[in-house]
Amino acid sequence: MIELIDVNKSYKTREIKTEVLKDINLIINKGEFVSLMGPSGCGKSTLLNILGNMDRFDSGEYLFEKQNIKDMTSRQAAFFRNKKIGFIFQAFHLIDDMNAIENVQVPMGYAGLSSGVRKERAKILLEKVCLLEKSKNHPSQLSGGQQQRVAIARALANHPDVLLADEPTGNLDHDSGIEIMNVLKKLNEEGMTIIMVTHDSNVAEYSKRKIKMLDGKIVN
Amino acid sequence: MYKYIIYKVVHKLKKSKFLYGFMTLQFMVGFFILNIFLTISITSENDYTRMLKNGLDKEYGIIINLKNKDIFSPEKFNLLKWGKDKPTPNEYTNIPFDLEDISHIEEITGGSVKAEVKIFINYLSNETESKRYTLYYRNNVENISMSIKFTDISTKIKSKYALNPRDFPYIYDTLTQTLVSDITGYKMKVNINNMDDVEAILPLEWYLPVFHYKDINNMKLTISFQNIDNNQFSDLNQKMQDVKEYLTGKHEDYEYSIDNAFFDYMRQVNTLKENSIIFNLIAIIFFSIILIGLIGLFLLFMERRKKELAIGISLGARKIHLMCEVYLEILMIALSGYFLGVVISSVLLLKGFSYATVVVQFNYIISQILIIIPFAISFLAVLPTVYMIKKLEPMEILRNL
Repeated sequence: MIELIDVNKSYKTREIKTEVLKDINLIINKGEFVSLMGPSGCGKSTLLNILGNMDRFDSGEYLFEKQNIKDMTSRQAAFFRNKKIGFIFQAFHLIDDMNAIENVQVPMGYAGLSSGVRKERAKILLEKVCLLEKSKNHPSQLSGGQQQRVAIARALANHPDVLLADEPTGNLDHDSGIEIMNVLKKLNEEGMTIIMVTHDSNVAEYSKRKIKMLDGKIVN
Repeated sequence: MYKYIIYKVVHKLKKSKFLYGFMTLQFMVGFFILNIFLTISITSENDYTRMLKNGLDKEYGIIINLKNKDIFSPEKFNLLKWGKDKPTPNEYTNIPFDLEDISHIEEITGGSVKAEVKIFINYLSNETESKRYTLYYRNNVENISMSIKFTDISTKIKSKYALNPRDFPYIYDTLTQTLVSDITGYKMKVNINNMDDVEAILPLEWYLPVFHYKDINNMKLTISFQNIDNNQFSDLNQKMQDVKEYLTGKHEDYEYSIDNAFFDYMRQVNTLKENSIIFNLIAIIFFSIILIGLIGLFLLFMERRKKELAIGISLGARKIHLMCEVYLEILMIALSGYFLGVVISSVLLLKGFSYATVVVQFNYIISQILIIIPFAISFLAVLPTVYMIKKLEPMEILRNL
């Protein structure tokens, strides 16, 4: 499903060139639950962003369902992020002046779905994460765990092929973290491919495959 | 997709109604002032154009004063003797302007020059060396004696159409109420309707063949500028001064001055032009203040919304959609401000008021043309924001939050 071949990425300032990813080769199959682990600054979030087509890479190939991501136009890239990928962030990143159901509708709106379809699908998704009764609540009226569940519902809005989660439990207490991981585990059991960045080995235990990174390289 | 953008914008406006309300208020005040000052400015501009056109159609005189009074001394200028046989005096040949001058002045000014001579129709003619004179009327001729005082003679001249058959053998045309004369083979008409009873005004070229220098003081030179371009208006004063200098240099016996009407006209036109420029400037300054204020306000607002924009991109929005969203947002505020501002200012303008020299009244066209401004102002105000969105690195922003 996902294949990275010799992917390199570096950041350049005036004087210094920092290599963030070095010759990354990776294959992720459909239905996998992969966790990217490693210390801070090892390049795992950058890799996740490249997988989500949110960041460019310098060299190498990224094939998503045999399609070369590097050749995409900005329109195709937006379509890719909208339809193929679902993002879950550490800080949830919900829109503050929208309530839960409106937040879930955002990706569907960008996909051009009608208001009726958006509302109906958003209700189903909120029900799936057990938050239908909080659908009118704004992010400030929800706990961290509830906000992350809304974010998961939003990530699932356009039935993506892959969920990309960047430290999904990083801002949550222990119980909420377990709650979220159970949701992700359940989604994976239903066939969703999940790639998760974490430095917490307990969280990584939920995944089926662990990839360790160090200094921009995959070490296992 | 675009339906959703509109939905989002409306949602945003509803949610932040206080902030957007104040921005609308700012636009409203801006459009109110803009409409008032643009109306004053355009009215002033119209008045200026009208006055310019009317003024250029008018004739402005060059007033001639005889500097050398000596030429009228009895030795040189014997009115009674002069003109008896051949009206060509030997004593004096310098008239204030001639046909050559007229062509030259036309060349300098680009206007059309009219040179005329006022003649008295009632003519007292010295018939013989004896002290008897002939008074010519239209229907009869009366011989009078010099013993009769001049005032008495004047009272005798009551006919409007008294003639001077020696100078101009007039025939009065009752149908057109003009004097028709046949001189040196061509017909000419002299309109006397607006003249004093005893006067007729002839073009110089009609007058010159007869050449009565006794009428030197009754010569009149007028210039009209109806053929010149409006853009040449600023040079007009200089052109008139050039004419004055030219004539003064050529005819030293005379002093030439430009009719006050010309200066009055120039002053009025310049005042209107200045008013128009000042009001335009005020309108532009207000426009700029509103624009700069809005750009700043909107940038500040967008800085706080970077997170939302970054989330949008990560969820599949294209940058162009976000730009449209932002533009639509500011456009809706600008349009609301426009409608409120224009309606309120139009109520004031419909009543009409005077400002400086301008009578300001509602101008339907300006109110309509102003509709372009919200679109333009929104476009300009949104440009820095568009640039910001273009440079947006969503993951960078989201990671740092």
